[in-house]
Amino acid sequence: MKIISENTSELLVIHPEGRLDAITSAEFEKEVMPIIQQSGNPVLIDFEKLDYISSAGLRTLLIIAKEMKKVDNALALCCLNEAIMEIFSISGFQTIFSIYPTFEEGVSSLK
Amino acid sequence: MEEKTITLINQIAQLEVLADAIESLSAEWEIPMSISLNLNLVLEELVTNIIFYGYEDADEHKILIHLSFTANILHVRIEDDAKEFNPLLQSEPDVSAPIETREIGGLGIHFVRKIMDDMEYQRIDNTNVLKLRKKIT
Repeated sequence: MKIISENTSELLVIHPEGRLDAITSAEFEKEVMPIIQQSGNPVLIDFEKLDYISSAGLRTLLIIAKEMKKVDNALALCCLNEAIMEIFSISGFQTIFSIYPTFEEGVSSLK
Repeated sequence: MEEKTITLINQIAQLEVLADAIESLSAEWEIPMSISLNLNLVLEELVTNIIFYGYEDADEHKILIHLSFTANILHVRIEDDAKEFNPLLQSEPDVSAPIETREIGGLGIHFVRKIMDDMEYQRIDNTNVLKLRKKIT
């Protein structure tokens, strides 16, 4: 799994690539949590290059969401493909996350 | 149509073997990408449960996944020698809980129920046998 993160003065953007499954989610969590905690900024997770997510990936997203709630900072997701959107819908994650169809809308929601 | 078997051992890294096998089978059987990803998800959730919670020893165990595709119906049969586990008896997770009280436990089996058309469990001679079916239109 490849993860790119960009931290500007007002926003942290995370771009996971490939699969968030029971193997890669642990790696994702380990890499991303310290960046989120250090940045202190709102977070946008860009799903553009993510092909697949399982309950292990959702678990990691939930851990991130709980952390953001704790520090009272905003979290948004953008650019989910159809298959991933279906999984979000089945699991009820659609209603607990702020989800935007495009990257630009995701960014402006956090400004 | 012939039956294909994916043989895994109880190590989480085997999920890669599973993903590759599903990808090539889907290509061979011309199963649409969206269904193929959902099938991968269902099998990952079930196999992960078996590997993480099924064994009380540190030995190597085989997990067999038999697949066949006839008359637009995909048949899946998973056999493992892990401890008895009937996914049909698992309670449904609360998918409407807010972030603060949200839990992930049970979500994997919930996906299996939602994605597949039906599910049948039997315990036969110390083996869990789980049969799943999905109509592909």
